[in-house]
Amino acid sequence: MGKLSKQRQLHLGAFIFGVGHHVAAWRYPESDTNGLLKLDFYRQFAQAAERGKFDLIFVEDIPVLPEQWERAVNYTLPVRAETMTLLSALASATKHIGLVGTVSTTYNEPFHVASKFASLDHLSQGRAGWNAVTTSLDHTAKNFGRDQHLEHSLRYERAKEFVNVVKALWDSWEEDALLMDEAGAHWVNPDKVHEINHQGTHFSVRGPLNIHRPPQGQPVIVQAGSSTTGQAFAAQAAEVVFTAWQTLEEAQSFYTQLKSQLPAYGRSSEELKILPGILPFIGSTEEEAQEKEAAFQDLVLPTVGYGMLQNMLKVDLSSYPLDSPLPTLPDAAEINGGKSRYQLLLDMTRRENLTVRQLIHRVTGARGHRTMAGTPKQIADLMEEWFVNEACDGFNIMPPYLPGGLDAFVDLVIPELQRRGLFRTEYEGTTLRDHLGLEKPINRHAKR
Amino acid sequence: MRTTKQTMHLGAFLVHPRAHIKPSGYTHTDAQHIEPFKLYEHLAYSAEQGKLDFIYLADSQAPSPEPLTFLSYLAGITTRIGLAAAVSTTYYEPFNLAREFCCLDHLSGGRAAWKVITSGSEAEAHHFNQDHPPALQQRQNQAQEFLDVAYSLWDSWEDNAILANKESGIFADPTKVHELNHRGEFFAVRGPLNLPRSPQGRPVILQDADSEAGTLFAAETAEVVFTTSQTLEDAQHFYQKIKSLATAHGRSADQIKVMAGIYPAVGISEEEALQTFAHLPLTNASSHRLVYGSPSQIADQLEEWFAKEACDGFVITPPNSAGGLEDFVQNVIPELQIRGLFRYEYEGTTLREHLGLSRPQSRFQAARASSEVLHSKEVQDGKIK
Repeated sequence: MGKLSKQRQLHLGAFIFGVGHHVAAWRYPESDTNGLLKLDFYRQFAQAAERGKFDLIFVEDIPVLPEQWERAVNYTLPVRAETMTLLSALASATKHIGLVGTVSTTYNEPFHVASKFASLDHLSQGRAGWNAVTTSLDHTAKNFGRDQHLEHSLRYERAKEFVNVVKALWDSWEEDALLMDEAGAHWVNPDKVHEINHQGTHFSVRGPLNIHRPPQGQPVIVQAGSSTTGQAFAAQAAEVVFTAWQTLEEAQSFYTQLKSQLPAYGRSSEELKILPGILPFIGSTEEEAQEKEAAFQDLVLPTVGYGMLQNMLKVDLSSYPLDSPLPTLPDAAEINGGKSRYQLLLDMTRRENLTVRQLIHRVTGARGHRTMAGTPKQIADLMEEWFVNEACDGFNIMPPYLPGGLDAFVDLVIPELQRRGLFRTEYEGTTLRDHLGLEKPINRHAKR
Repeated sequence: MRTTKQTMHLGAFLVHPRAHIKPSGYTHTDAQHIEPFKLYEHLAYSAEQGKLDFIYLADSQAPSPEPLTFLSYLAGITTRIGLAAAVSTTYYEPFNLAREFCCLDHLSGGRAAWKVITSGSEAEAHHFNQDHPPALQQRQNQAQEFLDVAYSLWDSWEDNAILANKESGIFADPTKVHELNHRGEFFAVRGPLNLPRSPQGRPVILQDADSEAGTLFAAETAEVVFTTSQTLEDAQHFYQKIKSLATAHGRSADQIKVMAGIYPAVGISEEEALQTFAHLPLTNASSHRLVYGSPSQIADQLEEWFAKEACDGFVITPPNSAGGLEDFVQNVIPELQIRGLFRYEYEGTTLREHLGLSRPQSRFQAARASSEVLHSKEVQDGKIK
């Protein structure tokens, strides 16, 4: 392929979650359940993703056990490595791949977060990305001295200000503020280090940051809430959006809607990449893939299924038999949790008339993201269909179990995508911004 | 005098020379020209080559790596050395910090250590929505409660809580995972932590003892105490004091290690050391005691302090060059090894093992064990049928 035929290509994330995304992953014989929280397990994951030339690995984060935590620890694997420590430890185990992690804007200080991501960006030589989320669970508040969670729109208001402060802190050192080569003179050029003097509703932060400018200028900003408020936040600040859609049409409509909001903020369509999640069960035949998916469903104890529904829907369905139809669920406006995922599940149950068991099967794997059981070719077909029809700019790949689930994708699906010219065969740049085709931001203090 | 044959403990500070010394008297590659991240990485490698107990990232002047990310990065490129950093409790949430150190302890295979400090600087307060830092007493009270919450979070999963039985589908025993339901003056934290107990049980706790209140807090909770004593007598006095205070708290004297700060200037001979370092502005050489001379003269001085119970070991501030720690590692460490004063190889894998510190039992496990003992005694006594 010559330079002339340079076509738009997919961007791929490898999403690590426990020992796999399926709720029963830890029980699956091939899963490395004992590897959990050992560095080698995560290294193997990151290196496999790098072998597959993924743009990034992604670590999500919830600073709390599930609300019904006794049941969760009894029957599921609810422990999660902490984002920043994990990504930093992986910086030395990889060379190219982007390192993206979730850190909540609800229970942190912008100064700490700015300093951690700047540090990670230095340690990885320009590969850091921050998924700036708002934390939506009331029981999380109880780990942070509050009884109730911040109301939805207030959470986003705080998040917006939080991200602005972090970005101002990343700019507080100009590119050439550190003068390491000039012996005997100043080590730091004080004219190029700036206070930010932020005084806002939620934060007052003087600055400057305690770390010089990160290699990417600013780590990549990622966002992962698809509600109306979430979209407005993304249109203004995000460079990558993680999202969950079941059908091509839904994904297309979200894609168009979000991209159309960019010009209002002076941004072009290329400046934001939309990556829905997909959970692939891969088989050499379609039947084999479906058998694999069924094998995972068999490992889900009913109590686990009911528990997941309760966490996601805030409704206790345990009095409804597995094969009975679902009761009428409240509208999204009536809940104070994550709204977009709730709406997605609501739409799905109404559209498909699901039973309790069927809905359980939908959430135990991908938690609302698209699941696909098929051959490498079929999975590549689906990805291509969504990609060429402008439903996405790529995908966040959610292996159902680890490490084998990612290896299968890397060894079987990636080559198929590469053959079709849909995915890179080598890294071309060195930073995460390079991989994603995002410009390095110009420092607001730089003389033009 | 120490009566039994013991070996000393050694740690190394990761500090950038430019953070506290003006450029002069450099004999090696000038560290001032090295980016802080690269310099610290280099120092950590040297320290592990020297079989040191730990490296320690101080809360230093900018620019400096953020401590938790940096220690985690080092966890990926080292295998045995302990990883310590100072992190202030003043503007942190205990749940977040406890979790970060717990995860570091998991990923490093049991090498995490935390020096508990508070933030008294005006400038720092301005980064965190405050006009002024809290008063000293309040900061210390907050730190005390913070540490107490952290202990409970680290202990909230008992050691044997996870069964991970793939056959039965039982992941963990919920009766061995505990809520804290802590409600104190500064914090309200429900718990449990979303991470199981880490290899060391709890990260090793380091503290300074530079004030009376600090000394009392350290005696109660610190497992390693840094001292900046300048004379043998002062150091011996401090050593006796902190150990007896610790004993008064029901702790064993050998479970709190006193480590004296030194700033070693290593020369081939005493003359060379003097020549090289004579023009160093000593007031800037941190508050650590300058120890200079040939390798064997330095070893003599360390041996004297160690043997006369002025300390259990030393924390080294590398002189102002990238080669400063290498000089110590290549020349002084072998001298200490020959004298039987320092390890040739790491014997254990965790920092607690390097330091000879026992692994703390989970509070919740301990409470349960004692209630079970009580219960069985009551059964024996016929109080419960």
